[in-house]
Amino acid sequence: MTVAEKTRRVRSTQRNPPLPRATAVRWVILAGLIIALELTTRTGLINPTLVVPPSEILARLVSIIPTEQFGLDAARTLTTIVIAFGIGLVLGVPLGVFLWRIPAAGRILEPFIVTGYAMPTLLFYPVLLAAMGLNAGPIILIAASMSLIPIALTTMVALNAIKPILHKLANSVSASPAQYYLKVLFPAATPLIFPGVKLGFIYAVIGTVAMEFILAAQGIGFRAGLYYRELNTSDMWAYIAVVIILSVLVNSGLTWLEKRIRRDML
Amino acid sequence: MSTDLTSPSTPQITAHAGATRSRKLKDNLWRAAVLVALVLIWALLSSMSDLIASPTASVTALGKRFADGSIYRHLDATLQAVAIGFLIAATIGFPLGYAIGRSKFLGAVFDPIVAGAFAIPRVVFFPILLQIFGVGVGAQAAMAALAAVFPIIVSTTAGVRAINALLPKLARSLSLSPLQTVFKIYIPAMAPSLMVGIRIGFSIAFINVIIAEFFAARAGLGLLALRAYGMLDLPTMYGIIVLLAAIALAGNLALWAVERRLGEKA
Repeated sequence: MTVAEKTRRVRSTQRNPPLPRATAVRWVILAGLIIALELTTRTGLINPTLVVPPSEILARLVSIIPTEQFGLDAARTLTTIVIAFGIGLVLGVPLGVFLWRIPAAGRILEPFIVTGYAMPTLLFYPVLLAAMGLNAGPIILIAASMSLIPIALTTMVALNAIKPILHKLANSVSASPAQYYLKVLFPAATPLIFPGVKLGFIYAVIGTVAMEFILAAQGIGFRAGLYYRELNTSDMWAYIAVVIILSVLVNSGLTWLEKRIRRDML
Repeated sequence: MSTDLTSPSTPQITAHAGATRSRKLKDNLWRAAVLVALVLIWALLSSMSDLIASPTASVTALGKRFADGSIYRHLDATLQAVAIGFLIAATIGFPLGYAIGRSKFLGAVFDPIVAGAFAIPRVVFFPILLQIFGVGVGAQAAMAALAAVFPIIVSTTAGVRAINALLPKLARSLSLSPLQTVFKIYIPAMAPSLMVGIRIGFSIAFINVIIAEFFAARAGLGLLALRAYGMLDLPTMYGIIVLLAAIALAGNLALWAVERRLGEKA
């Protein structure tokens, strides 16, 4: 609390971009963690067969990234994520609209959709593998099912939260159904739907990498799991680092987009 | 984790008029109808494909596993891992989320870190957990904790920030002790968003335990399902999927009902 009060005072005197000190502290913490990891692994405090020094991870990354195999893995993972997210979006938004349009359906089906968060759809992975083969198909289906849930739920919630006056407005200017959806509902709901879309994308990333990790023929997640089984710790960590960097990039991009969209609303 | 099958929206005897009661009853009947329809679709699909066992065969196979007692070891392992992992995540996540939400400075420092960590598919760290804890419930529980802690932090933080600014003032004017302020003012005010954290935390812990069991385990329902598939014992595999879906549905519905009720009160 005292720290917070101090910073508030600092901020009120500086009036610079939002809390520059916080950003500095954040980077110091992250850098400190990496340095601590480097020191503990170098000195043997942490077993090097468990965690590889960050400098070595970086060295492995530099030699792995230009290889053709990495390009193929990355391309496979990224296309899988995008297709899964695309399916989640194309099915999730209309499902959300349907649940909003027919309130009884929304009320009755909501518990089932909420349970979708906890449904281990990955249990169908072996069957899907048998039906579709060891390719991206089964992973796309499972990641899409994970991505669809938050998108559908937030779409429903967002449409329910639209101010009644907007519906009246659309009515009074006798907007056609297409105009009603595209010019009234869509712009009004987008800022509220976006957090769900963001979560849907993150779930698509998590689902794709996790399924690749368990069993696949290609992909970044698959490679990390493979090197674990081959006891190749440094390459495993290099691929874990790729996964971390990919997720953080995705998250930052979506957060940036979210800020822009929400500013439009305000 | 509560897994009893109490219906979430059992008509409240004390509150509300008969109209709401009959509507709730009707909703629950419709929900039951949806479940029956799902089973019928399943039966139809099973008659079309060899890869899908029929509902009766699956339930019989599951019943056999319960009758000879061979399933309890696996059920125990999975539920234990979920419960321990969730408890660890809650013990770490709630205080941390509270601290981050209360202080503007900590929020500015840690929000992006927590959001970034939330976006990482945490399964990729499972090999390291395996090396630390060995193959067993410990590694699964650690996986669940690692997966559940970030959503719990996120929703707790959101809950603290949503607290009405008047409430801290009320606490001060009543000169409550810090402990009293937390337990009498903050926690009741935050209850709905705490429940969201608990529900999402449970869901994510549950899914991650199953993913981890798919990867490596000594016992667990995920492992059992995978083994059954390996022996082409499809009825048992689908039986376990039904059991897991029932656990997810029951646990989720119970938590969701509590969440709903708290939300209505607030």
